[in-house]
Amino acid sequence: MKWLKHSAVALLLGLFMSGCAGHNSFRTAENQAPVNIKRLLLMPVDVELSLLTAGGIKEPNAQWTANARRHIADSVRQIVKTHNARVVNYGSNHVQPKHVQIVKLHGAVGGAILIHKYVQGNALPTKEGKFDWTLGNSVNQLRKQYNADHALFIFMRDSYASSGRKAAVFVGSLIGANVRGGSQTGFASLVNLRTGHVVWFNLLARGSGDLRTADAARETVGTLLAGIPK
Amino acid sequence: MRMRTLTLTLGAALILGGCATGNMSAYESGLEGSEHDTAASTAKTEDIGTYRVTDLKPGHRPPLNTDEGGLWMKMDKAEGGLRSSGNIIEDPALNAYVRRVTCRVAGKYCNDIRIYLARVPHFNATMAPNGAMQIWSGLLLRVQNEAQLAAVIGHEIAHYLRQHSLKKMRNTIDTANSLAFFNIATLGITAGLADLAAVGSLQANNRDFEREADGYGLVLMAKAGYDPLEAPKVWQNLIHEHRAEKGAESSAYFLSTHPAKRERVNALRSLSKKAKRRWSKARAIGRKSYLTRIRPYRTRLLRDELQLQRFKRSQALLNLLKKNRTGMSELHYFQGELYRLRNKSGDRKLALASYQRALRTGRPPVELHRAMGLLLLKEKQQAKANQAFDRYLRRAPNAEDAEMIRHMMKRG
Amino acid sequence: MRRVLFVVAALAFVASCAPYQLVEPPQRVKVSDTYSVSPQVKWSRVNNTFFKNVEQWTVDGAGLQALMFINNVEDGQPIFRSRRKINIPVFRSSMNSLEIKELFENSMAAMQAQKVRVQNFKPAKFGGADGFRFTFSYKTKGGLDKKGIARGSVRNKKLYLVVYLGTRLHYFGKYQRAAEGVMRSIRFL
Repeated sequence: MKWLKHSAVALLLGLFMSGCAGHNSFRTAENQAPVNIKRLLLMPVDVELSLLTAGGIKEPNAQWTANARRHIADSVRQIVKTHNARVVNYGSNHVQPKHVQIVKLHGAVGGAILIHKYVQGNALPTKEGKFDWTLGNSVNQLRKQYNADHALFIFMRDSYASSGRKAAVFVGSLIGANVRGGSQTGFASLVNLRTGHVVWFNLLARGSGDLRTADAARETVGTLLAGIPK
Repeated sequence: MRMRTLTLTLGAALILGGCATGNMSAYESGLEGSEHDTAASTAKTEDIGTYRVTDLKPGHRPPLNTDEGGLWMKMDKAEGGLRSSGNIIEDPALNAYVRRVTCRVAGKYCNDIRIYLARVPHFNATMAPNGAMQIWSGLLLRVQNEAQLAAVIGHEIAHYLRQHSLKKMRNTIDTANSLAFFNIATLGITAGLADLAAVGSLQANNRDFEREADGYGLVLMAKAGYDPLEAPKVWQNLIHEHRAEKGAESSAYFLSTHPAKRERVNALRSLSKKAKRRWSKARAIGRKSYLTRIRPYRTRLLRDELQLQRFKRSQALLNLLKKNRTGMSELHYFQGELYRLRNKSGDRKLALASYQRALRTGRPPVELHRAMGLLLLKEKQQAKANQAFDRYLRRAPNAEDAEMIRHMMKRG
Repeated sequence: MRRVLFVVAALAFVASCAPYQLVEPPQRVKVSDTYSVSPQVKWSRVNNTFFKNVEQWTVDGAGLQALMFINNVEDGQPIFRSRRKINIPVFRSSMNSLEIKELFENSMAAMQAQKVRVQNFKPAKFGGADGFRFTFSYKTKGGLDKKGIARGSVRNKKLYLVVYLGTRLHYFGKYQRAAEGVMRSIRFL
């Protein structure tokens, strides 16, 4: 049952992120100046919305997810517009074969950032507090193909308590048992397509937030991208 | 309309069958049902629906706002990962061949099933609810003919057509829900007990799904013209391997503590006979065509198998493959490799003898000469070892270890 | 991605018990009380890795690049002594370098590395002793391309192996020379 394993992973991710709290974003040290985004490539958004059932199992919801993907893209477009830049669409929800290694590398880099920047006691002494992860020059391919200067990667997992789950949370609170409700976890990272540098990274892990409607999604994406450099 | 009624009837039969007459009825009903149907009309036999094999229409795609839609979304995504995963076998000819067999078994559902061959040296195949079927290379090495491959594929397609994953998801969610309040109320103290019972009932469900897939798999393969008597042989061979690894005694223990397994094999055997009587024209075995197709990949698959270092099992497998009398030279080489890697006392001599046999029988992989050189070195026969290395280097001058081997030859 | 996160999360649990330590040039650094090496760049030493007998250094994160010192592997022990029990082939002190290369390939496969390919297998010095080196490539189970180099030797019936690996894109190449420098600088205590 693959989906069970995956939800366990998402749960673990949620746990270890919330345990280590502090969702501040990071920026490259040498790059506190404006990064000058003109054309921002939005990579296929890795998003999944699910219903948290009374028993605590996440039931994926395709309709919510499809809507969320649209809402996220719209919200990103609006935010980027206020920065006098424009969004370039990737053109598909699926990663093209020639970009697969770049996206997998980004996953590994994101993993390193999560563990070494967000988990306490795990800072790498070699980094000396700097935030200087990069995808290297592999990203040139994306820059040329899309004529874009930066790329934005978004990963989101959202779950919403069913009415049964809400009742379980309520009953739990009455008798002092900790029953978790729905949660929102995810991250966004901004990559310079000339240098490959991850110039900005932000983590979102909270018990609220919604991506099912356009308005709510605007709030979530606004929080996720808060402080994204111009 | 008719389809829906049939599905409903079958659904009811399944539920009733599960409670009233025990485990056997789940897939028996599929087969028995079909026999009754054919008595009424043989013209219908071309229609898979007649056999009540399916819950799905060809080209099925669930609406987004259903739990099934959610499950498919999840699986579509997982399939993307599968496509770019590290162990996928991309070889077009092998993929095309398995695809052809799949289509023959799947009939009008051919376009709904996508196959992914994974390089994993164990026996397994899986089916995702969205029609993504995985077949592991260890299975391709073990099945002996096209009919046996079709049996496994039929079993997996049955999981798809009967929406077993969806049912499992619903069962899991329902079970977890039913436990939620109980666990909270007892602060989780007794959760262990309750969960255990729940897991037990889930496993029972899964067993029923497997049995059902066995039965419907037989129908599918027989309808495609494959001899259903080949299906239980897949299991027999696996049990044989297991027995070789664990010893007969432990294997008897294994089967007695897993009555479900023994029962499943027995049931499959008797069902396959019924299927054979019903589809007497289902005679295709395709031994030669299968062995010819798999032959170009067998070297790699055998290498992967020996990497696992479970020599008793691998020996049983080699014995089975030797019965086919195809590519004997290669099999003698791997027999030698098994001895060399096992490295018990006396194994070196056995290995060298197997290599000699391989050389006499045909054209074994070039690595044979390297392996021979290695063993001769161990036997302190440097001159002979150098001759073997020399043969290896002449055949594979650009081998990844050529420089090291030249160095080793010089030293001697 | 999820798989990466899962591994990372799992590692976080292991690693969180033991923080990282800076390894800095120009001093020589002792490795497992067995030999010393001379690093040319700064590395972060991971004190508590997934494997019992492996000392690991990285600069950007072990999933991106890792320099692994595998020391004192005795007859009957596997190269990677996992804290979890897995079926993995073992080293024999009678093995020659060809067999060790084969052992390495089989060990990688046992740890789920896919399509492992060893190349450029050559004789090389290891801390003054006769040994070997090779390059290799593989895919992780999740499909990420990795590359690596290794150098090793059998000394007093024990196997010593230093492996450097990283993502094919960017991170392997970033510190390949630094890693080779460390490998060349080995001096047994």
